[in-house]
Amino acid sequence: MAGLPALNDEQMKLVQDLEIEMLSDMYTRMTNSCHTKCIPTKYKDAEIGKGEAVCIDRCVAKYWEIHERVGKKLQKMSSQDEESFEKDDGRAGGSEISNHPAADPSIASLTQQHPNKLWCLFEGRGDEAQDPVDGYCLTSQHSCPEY
Amino acid sequence: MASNAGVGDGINKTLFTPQQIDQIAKYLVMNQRRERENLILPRSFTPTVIKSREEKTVEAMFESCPFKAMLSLVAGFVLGGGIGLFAASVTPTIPTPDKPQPTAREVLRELKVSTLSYGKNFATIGFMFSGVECAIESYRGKTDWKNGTYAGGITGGILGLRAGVKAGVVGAFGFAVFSFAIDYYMRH
Repeated sequence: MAGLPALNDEQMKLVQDLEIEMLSDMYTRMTNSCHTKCIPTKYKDAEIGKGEAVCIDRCVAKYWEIHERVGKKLQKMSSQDEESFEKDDGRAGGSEISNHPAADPSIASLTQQHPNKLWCLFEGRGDEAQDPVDGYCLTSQHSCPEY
Repeated sequence: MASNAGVGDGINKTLFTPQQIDQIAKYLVMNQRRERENLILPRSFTPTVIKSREEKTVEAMFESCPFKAMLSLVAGFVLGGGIGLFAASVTPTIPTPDKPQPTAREVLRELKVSTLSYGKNFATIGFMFSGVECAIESYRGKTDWKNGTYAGGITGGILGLRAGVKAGVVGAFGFAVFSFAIDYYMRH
């Protein structure tokens, strides 16, 4: 189960406001959706008939279950993403600062040969055969591109 | 999103770091079933009324199919009894030579027999029709004229099958039409 990070009062209040807005939005959408599905537009009676009540029960139960399942799937996907990010960072040797080529003594000569160039981090296309994954390149640009 | 608005002073003040946003998003999306102190519902024109658990059980009991069927059973019995009583009281007795005038006891017995007979018939019809209609409506999840018509067809068919298949079909069709007519009259 995910937990909240450490937050101060102001941040906590914002999170609570956000949650209230989220839930009330979900309630409104659920009401509208189930109303459209279950209650036909021709009104002959002010009371909700038995069939309509049964339909509303089923609609609400399904809506809630879908909401939960999608949330769980989303959480699973995002933790998979997190793992792959961590793996990438690990392969590059930890944080960027310690892996920066400028600090690497083994390629210090290369840095000295091209004094006007910068070491910039480039993202590969992901196609490892032709394009390497993220790595540092010596570039003649004035500043490194932001990713 | 509110968290990126940077409420308060400072232009460069970041309220949440990206990692915090990520964790908060996961927390809000994932934990839907956690315990909450207050129940919050958006309010429209009318005040929000939340029914108690007992009220809901009682309502569910009163709107359930078996209860409706039993209600129809009792109502059918009463109505049938009334009709039987009336029918028996206006039926003329044919005087035979050895019994010119029936005794009061015999008259009452005839009334009782007729009342019970009609009552039982109407009770079973009402019970079956109401039960089947409620079941069909619960299954379909819609409230319209088809529930009554289908229920009428099934009830008429069951009643008619006692006298053969053809009578069953005719009974089903007739009762379905009758039920449709009653529904139409009630709705318009």
